[in-house]
Amino acid sequence: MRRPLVCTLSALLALAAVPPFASAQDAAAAQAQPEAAPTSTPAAAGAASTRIVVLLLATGEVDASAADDLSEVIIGAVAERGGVTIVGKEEFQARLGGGERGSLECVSSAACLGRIGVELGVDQVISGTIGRREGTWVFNLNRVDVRTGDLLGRVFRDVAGDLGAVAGELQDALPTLYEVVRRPATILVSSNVDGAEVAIDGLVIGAYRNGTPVRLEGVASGQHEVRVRAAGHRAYVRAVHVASGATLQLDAALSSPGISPLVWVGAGLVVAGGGSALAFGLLSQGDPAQGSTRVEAVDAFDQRRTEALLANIGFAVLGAGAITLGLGVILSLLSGGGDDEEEIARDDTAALGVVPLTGGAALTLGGSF
Amino acid sequence: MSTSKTTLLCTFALAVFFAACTVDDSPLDTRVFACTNDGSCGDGWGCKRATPYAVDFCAERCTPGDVRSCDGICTDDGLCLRGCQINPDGTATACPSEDYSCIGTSIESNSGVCYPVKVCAADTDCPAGQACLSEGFNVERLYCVPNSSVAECAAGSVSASDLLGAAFPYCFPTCRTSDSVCPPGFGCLTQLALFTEPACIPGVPGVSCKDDSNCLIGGCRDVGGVGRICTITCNDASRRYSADGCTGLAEFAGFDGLYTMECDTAAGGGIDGGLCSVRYQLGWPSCTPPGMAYPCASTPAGTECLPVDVDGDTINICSRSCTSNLQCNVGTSIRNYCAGLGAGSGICLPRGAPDDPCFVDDACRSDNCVGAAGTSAGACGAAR
Repeated sequence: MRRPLVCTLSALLALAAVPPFASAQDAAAAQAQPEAAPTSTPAAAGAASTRIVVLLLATGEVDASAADDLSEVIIGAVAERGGVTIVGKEEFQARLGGGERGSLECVSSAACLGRIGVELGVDQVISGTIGRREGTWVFNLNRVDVRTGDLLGRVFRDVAGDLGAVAGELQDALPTLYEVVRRPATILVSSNVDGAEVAIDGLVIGAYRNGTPVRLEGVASGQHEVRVRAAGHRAYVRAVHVASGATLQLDAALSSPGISPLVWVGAGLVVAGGGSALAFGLLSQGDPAQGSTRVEAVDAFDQRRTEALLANIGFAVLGAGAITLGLGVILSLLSGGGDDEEEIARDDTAALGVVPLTGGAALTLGGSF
Repeated sequence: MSTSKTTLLCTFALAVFFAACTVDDSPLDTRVFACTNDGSCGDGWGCKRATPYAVDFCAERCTPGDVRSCDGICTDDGLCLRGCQINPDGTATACPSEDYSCIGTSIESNSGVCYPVKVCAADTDCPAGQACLSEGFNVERLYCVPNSSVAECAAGSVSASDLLGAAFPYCFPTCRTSDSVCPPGFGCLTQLALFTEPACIPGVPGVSCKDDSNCLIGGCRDVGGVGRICTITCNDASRRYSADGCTGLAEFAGFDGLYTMECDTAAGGGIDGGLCSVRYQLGWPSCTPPGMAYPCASTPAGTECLPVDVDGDTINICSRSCTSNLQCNVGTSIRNYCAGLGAGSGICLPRGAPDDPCFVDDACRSDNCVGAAGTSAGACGAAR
């Protein structure tokens, strides 16, 4: 099994200087938008501990102490999932300053979250508010990846009843908060051949014309087959993995049909065999010169027989060459026009990530090539 | 790829694969290769002499007498002349190639041999300066030879008209007694050696031969001292040609006074009555005892090889002693006369043709000896 080479490029770049996409080694370029981290299950968190800040802030007529109690409920539920280190609200606000209102403003700012992430070593922030509306408890929770600013999960619930009911609902909502947010991806396909037909998962979605990539939006994340073909060219087939919400751009370089080496070998044999067969064949059919004696004629026919033998060898070579040439042509035609023979290329997975950093961002490009 | 394209490709490949180049060396067997000696013909082949009517050509070797070694006539020199058949309409079965023609070698059968000449039925079939043997000898599928009435015969040939008369204006090749190589249908008239160069003439009974290809009548058989001549058995001669048996064959020869045929009951092992053999008529100037080259005929009775003194030289002449012309002839013939030797004795001699020397009128067929006086000879003149 092929062992994917995982390359990770990290560079500190000014956010404004991040190019719209980067090219992969095999000409498949990928441009990915921020995506949700694949942490749908507790086990997926891995052995390393994830530092999480949990903030539940009270709004309106809800008492702050009630919000703190409910925060403890959330903390307990998160801790049960394992592999996490909880950073308390007090530490967060102490580092941040500004009290409840300052905390609310910070969690809604990517730059602030980035700073918190660096200063507190926090990976994620689970933040939310709880309030009351017409006698009903209303709360929302957002799970944010501090590094990418991605919203990893979100819940919004109305709860009737007392605080106990709210606490129970919070516990019930936590799995939802950890569900992966799947967003449709986009695939852009361009080619070096104008008019090349593009199909994804067997469905023709258009033709590449005038430099405008064929665009398919709303693609589910995961494995897809992209097939690009044009008359007179070898089909381009790639199995690609598209991340949720990512935009994958493929540049399908179609090559002319490869000519099998058998064609050249066969042609060479045909030329060599045919030439010698023709030459020796013609020589072998000559009559002895008029006026020659019978002995001279006998010698001449002996030579003719030798020439005929050489001609027959030439014919054999010609025949073998013709068969070889035919096979070569067949193989060439099949390789040029038949999809069945097309090799399915390896998975191309590319992901472009932007990590918010203090004063800028880090661009990461990961994938297997 | 479509089925038709595949089929086309496969057919082409198979055609190319199975195409084979062969050499047709049949011309070695069918073409006429001129030669000067056996060495120019290759193993198993020899040079067959055919001049002057054709070029000497290469022929396959065979074993004389072994009919399996040749599908025609195996000549005396061990070379095979391929056989062919002449149809009643004059056409013939095919010879190896157009270089050859089927020529007749027998007036008794439809057999022939393939020979590198052009056959003809009439003089008009021949190129200018040539005449057709078939016309003169009334034998189908003979061939064109130089016409002696148009031009003098070339060296190595003689005019047949000098031997056979003006009706035969052909140049016949000369031959040698010891090596009588003549074209098919021709034998060597070796008897001419006493007077001039022997010549090949049609293979009638009595002419010397080497093999059956020389004989238009009968076959080439060894008759003892005379050697191999064209002849038939005595009984066959009686059955097929004349009640007189072998004697009747002489008329085919047409050489009046040269030789006659008699039955040699011992020749050929005596089978079928023996073989007709050559005997020399009265007056033959170089006779030998019986069983040798020139035996004398048995008629007129008492004919034998007599030594005669002629101008001081002794020559052996077929003759007999006589006292009258009657003793010198058979039946009513007056072909011979009794030449007096004095003292009432004499010997039989043939009467002379015009201009032949003579002493008396009886010595001339014209009964007119002109100018003889005493010991001075005259010459036979015209009939009175």
